[in-house]
Order: sequence, then structure tokens, then C-alpha cells
Amino acid sequence: MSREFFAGWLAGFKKVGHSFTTITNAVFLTLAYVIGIGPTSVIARLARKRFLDTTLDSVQQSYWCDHELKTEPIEKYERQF
Amino acid sequence: MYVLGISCYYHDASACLVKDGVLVAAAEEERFSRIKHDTSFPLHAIKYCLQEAGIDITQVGHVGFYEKPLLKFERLLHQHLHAFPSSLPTFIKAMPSWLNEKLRLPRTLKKKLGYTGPVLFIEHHLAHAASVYLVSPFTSAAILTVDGVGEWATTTYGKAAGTDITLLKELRFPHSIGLLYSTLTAHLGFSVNNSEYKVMGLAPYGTPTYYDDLRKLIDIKEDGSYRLDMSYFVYHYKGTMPSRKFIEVFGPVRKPSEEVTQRHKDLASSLQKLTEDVMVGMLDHIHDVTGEKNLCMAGGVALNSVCNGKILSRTKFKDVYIQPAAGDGGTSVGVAFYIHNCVLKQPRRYVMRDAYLGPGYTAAEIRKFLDEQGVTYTTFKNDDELVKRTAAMINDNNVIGWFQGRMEWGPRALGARSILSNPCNPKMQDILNVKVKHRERFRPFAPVVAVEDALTYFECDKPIPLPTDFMLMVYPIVPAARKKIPAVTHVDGSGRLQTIRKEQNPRYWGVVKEFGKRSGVPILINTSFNIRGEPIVCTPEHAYRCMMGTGIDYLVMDRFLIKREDNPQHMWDSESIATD
Repeated sequence: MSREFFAGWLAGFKKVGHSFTTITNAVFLTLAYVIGIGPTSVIARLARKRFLDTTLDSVQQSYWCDHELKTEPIEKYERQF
Repeated sequence: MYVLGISCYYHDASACLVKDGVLVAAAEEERFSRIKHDTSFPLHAIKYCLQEAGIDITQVGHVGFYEKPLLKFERLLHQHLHAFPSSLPTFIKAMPSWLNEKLRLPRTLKKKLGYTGPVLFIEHHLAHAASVYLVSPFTSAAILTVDGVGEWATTTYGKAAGTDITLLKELRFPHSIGLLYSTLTAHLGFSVNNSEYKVMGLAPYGTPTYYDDLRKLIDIKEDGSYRLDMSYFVYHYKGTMPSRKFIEVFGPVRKPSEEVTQRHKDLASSLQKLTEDVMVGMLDHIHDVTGEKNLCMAGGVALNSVCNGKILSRTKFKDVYIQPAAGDGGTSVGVAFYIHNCVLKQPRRYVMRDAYLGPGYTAAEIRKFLDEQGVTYTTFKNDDELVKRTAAMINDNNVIGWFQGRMEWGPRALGARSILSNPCNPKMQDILNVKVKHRERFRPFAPVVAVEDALTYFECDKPIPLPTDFMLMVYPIVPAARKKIPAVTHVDGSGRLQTIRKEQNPRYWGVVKEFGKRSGVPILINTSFNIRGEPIVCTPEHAYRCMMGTGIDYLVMDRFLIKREDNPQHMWDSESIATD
């Protein structure tokens, strides 16, 4: 009986905690988006910087981009970039 | 020396273990967690791999991950910067998982496995390339990788010789034939990253009347490279895929509950034709650039078996290899072999000639399970009796659950976790759908045939390419044979066959051949041992439970025969939980 009570209590706490986290995340991420992404995006647009190349080019002969990806020293693979 | 390969956090999480250049074990997380296309950290799959090798994590020399997380994160930030302010909802949705887990793999490995050794991050398409070439029978080959998107690349090509792999060129996000296919999949009311194969199956019912309209969405150059007209798409900044303009041209998005109409079939047909044309265009260019006669393909688009079946007849390549898990799940194999063969410069000594790389259960383990559950069963005296009685039951139009040996690697059931039945019975497609699969009527079932009999019934490439063993090639069925095997003949006369060799799976091969002696047609229906919406069964318990909740008549599990009617106490309604 008491075990069931505490299990339910714990589950309720987790649910409240989860909801709180979701709301907090949404607030902070919205701020980050507005303060960080927003101005950068606006300034970049004014400077005619493109973050994604979405253009089609009838003159261009090929859309293939040079890659030349080959095996490198092991240290290169320890990086996440 | 052990190398552990991991793929996760996008779709189809998986793990594999390579020992001294030989693949010891490989499995997708979904088979253990029972969540289809599970994306989470593949803890169960890793534990299985270690258990299969009889080692613990401290004996693993390197762990490899299937992408460069920060490069992918950079691409996501670029998407948000490009689309500001429209991308706010996706930003809020995506960021927590990136900050909590996707950028913290070493921490997760330490926390969940106690692993503190080196973690190597391999570019996504390089992992795809390695996943196919390094386990192929070729000593040199051209490579094409095509999927939705990796870090930035959506399509790459290159060449390989010995243990050297070089990716030469790439096409970059948002231009992706894989995402175009997924957009149409979503438009047709099917789930993205799951049901693209349904669109492929739907295509033969239509005519490509929308081909010219679809062609306007994509600018294809003479060298096969392409870009999409992004005014038709919103996937680069939204949770949905087709734009309003797309819907104006191709009609409203179909709801999953709505009937599939001729418009949907024609759209599927047009998309399939376009995909094949794009692929052939790229392959012709790649052949000219690399001068290679062998081709290796990987990425989700390489699971398009209709397209694969046309490669050797429509391009100059002479042979093709695709591994069973060609999609993202397969990249764990790619990183493990890339580390072993390319980074650590060890010679190649493994060819993936079968897909039986998952968990297996001994007869003693299965008997223990059956006895503990109080299941009524009989035991075959030997393999000869097992093969003959199973073939006889299939010939009598029974549906058989077939659970033998180690589970398959990749999305297809290939005779380890399969449902087998009689392809000569014209009603068998309906019987299977009503009894077990509960799936869309337009989807055909797949045939399995011994490799030595394949050319009698199917118009395969000669010699038959190895990916046919993995159910990755669709070929026309010989016209005279179509009426003999109606249950596996698609509306256009094609079949997505699996060829089986005796050395791969003697019991499975034996049942196919024995059925041929009885019926005159050495072909069986082979469909995956699951119900719609669930992963393929993995353990004896999954298999027994699946049988008892469906209309499967018998379960042949190792050398044990279980008749459903003898065990009525565990019934449950599989139809009620069948999903997409």
C-alpha cells in the first residue's frame, strides 16, 4: 500500500519535473533563438550571406561540389568536427 | 583487436563488433527495445555484441561513431539562420536532445558502459561508403552513397581500391533525392523514414503521368548532379516536408486513413521513374569518372530494390554490391571497418556473404523457454524430418513462423526470422494479410528461391549479383511462371526475390527445395516475422508471442514444432495494435 503510494507520488513528481523542464527549455531556447539566431540572421541577410544554397543555376555545368575525403591521421577522427 | 561501431540518434540505431577484421556481431536496437526504428543509444545492441564475443567493454580498443556531430550541428544552425524566424518551433524541439545527448557521446559511453577509451568520429557518408565497400567481395570499386542527409552531404561518390577509400564529390543539403522521395512519401500519407518502400510497392499500380510535373522540381545536369527547387519544400526549416506550392501542384496531402486513389498511384509511379532516372544519370557519370566496373552503393536510397534491379541493365557497371543494412543502421559496420582497415591500416579479410549476424539461441535455450512457459510442442528427430514436414505443412497452405539460427542484420527477414507460406495459392496474399500481417493490400509479398533455380523463374542479371541474396533487387518474373506463383507476383509481373544458397542456411534452403519437389515450384513466400508496426522478432519469446497473437498456424523454432491450436491460452489480438 505504502509502496504504491510512494511510487505514484514519485511518478507525479517526475511528471511535474518534466513539465517544468519543458517550459524552462522553451523559454530559454526562445531567448537564445531571438537573441542569438535572430540578429545573426538579419545581419547576414544584409551582408547577402547565404546559409543554405537554395539557388538553381541554368548556366552552371555541374552541381557536384569538390569533396576529396580520404583517410587522415587518427587524431582527425577524435574530433567531432 | 576489437572495434565497436555505433550508429544512433537519428533513425535505426545499431551496433556492431569487429574482431581482427571479422564482423562478430551486428544488430539494430529496435529488435531489443521493440520500438520500431528506435533512435536511442543502442545499449542493448552493444551489450549483445559484447556478449556474442564473450568480452567486456574494457577489451574494446576503439569505439567508432557514424558521423561528425558538430558538423551536423553546424548544418542545423545554418538551417535556423537561413529560415529565421520560421524555424523557431523546430529549434525548440531539436535543441534539447542535441545539447543533452547528441553532442555528448563520450560522456554517454562512459556513463552507460564505463568506456573511457578512444572514440573516433567518421563522416556520415564515409561511414556509408565503408559499410559497403569494405565488406564487399571487390578489391576495387566505384562507390555511390545516397540518403536523406548526413552532416552536409546528401549524395557522394568516390572510388576505392584495397583499403583506400576516397570520396571525390558530393551534393549538399538541402538538395537530396532521398528527401524528395520522403516528401512524396509524406504527401502520400505514409510515415517518413519508415514507409518509403510502400511508395515503391505502390508505383507499379500507376502510370507516370506526373513525371513532367515532378521533373520541374529538380534541375538535373548532364553529369547527373542535381538540385531541387526549394520553393516546393519546407523540410529545411519545418517539421513537415511539402510546401503549399507543392500541394497546389500535386493535390492535398493524403491522410493515412484515406483510400489510396489512382492519383496517389500515379504520383508514386512518377516518383519511382524519376528516382531511377536520377540514379542512372549519376551512375553513368560515376562510371565515366572512375573507370570502375564494380559498383558499391549505400544509403537509404540504396534500399530501393526496384531501382537496384535495373542498375546493371541500364548502366555500364558489370557488378554491384549492397550490404543488407544499406540505410543508416548499416553505418555502425562502416565505422568499425573504416577504423580497422583504413585508420589502423589492417588488411581486409571479411566479406559479408550472409546477414546472420544477430542473436541466436541454442536448442537447449529454446527448450528451456518452452518448458518454462508450459508450451505444448514436439521435437523433430533430425533436419531431414524438419525440412520434409515443414515443406508439407506449407504445401497444405499453412502459415509457418520460421525461427532458425542467428537473427538477420538489416531490415529484411532472410530466413532466420521469417514467415513462410505457399506462393502457388492465389488466396495466400489475403490469408497472410488477414491472419498475420494486417498490411495494405497493394503491397506484394516476396519470394525466396534457391540461387540455382532463380533464372528459371526470374529474369535476373547474369551472373546473379550478391545483393539478390539480401532481397535488394527486384526482377521481372518469367512470364510463363507468373500464374504459378500469383501470391508473389506484383501487378507489373515483378518480384522482390531473395536467393538462398545452401551454405548460407541449409535448413531454409532445404525447405525451399523440398517444397519444390512437392509442388513443382521451388519458391516460397518469405515475409518478415512480425506484425505491421512492430520490429521483426528477436527472441523465442517474441516469436511465440507473435504466433499466439496472430493466425500463424505453426512455429518451427530450431528443431521444435509448436502448433498454435495446441496452445490457446495466450491469445491476444494482434490486429488491434497493428500500426504503420
